[in-house]
Amino acid sequence: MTSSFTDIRLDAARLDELRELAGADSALLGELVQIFLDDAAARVSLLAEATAVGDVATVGGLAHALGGSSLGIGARRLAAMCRTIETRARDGGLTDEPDLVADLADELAAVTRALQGATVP
Amino acid sequence: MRILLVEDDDLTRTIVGRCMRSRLGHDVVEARNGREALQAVEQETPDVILLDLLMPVMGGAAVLRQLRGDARYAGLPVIIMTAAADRDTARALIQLGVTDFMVKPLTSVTATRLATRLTAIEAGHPARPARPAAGAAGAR
Repeated sequence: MTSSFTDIRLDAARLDELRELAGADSALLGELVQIFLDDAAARVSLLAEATAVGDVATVGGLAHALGGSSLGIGARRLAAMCRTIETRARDGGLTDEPDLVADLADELAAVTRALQGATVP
Repeated sequence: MRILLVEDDDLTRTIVGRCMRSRLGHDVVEARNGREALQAVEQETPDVILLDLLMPVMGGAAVLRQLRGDARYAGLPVIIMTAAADRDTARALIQLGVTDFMVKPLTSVTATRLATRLTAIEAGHPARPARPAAGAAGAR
């Protein structure tokens, strides 16, 4: 099986692009990583809560938001997983979501380690 | 040039805001949703709005509709920021009077394109007909 774009845990090219966008603003990348990690952890926690009570609209909104920021930081696989959850939530189905959210939490933990490793000066 | 940046995602708002300030030297006012944006339009009198499409409380399309229905802001340039807009969404936004689209996430290429667009707006060039982002699929 060939790997796809969404198999990439952390897109090094995206991090390079963020460094380029930051230019002389050397603190920016570190700030972006911290913002992402803080927001992502909170959103995954809220996603688990919303899933547990079957709040489809909240699940869809949170998955959309987390997917967007994951794409922004280069966490491709996490973004793809969010898109799957968002689509299923918007279609009204939540039957598989507890497993998906658990997988999402595992992926976020891996992304966190990868980001910390990639952005250490 | 004063830019009103409307975006609920902290990461995207930080990237775009810092780029607009530090690289392009613009004055950036931030809002986290459409309702805050409409208040900021009244209070901050921006020259252009960078507007996210999907936001809690009030989304970008509702903001655009409200602005275009108000004679004071009917000509205020509004650039929609979106990861992708499907054809129907893009068409609806064009009919509402969107000035242009900016594809998220921001890259060096889109930042350059945005800078060029802002320069044209600052120079008072009339808005050219907006077109949806190339290769777009699925509203976000």
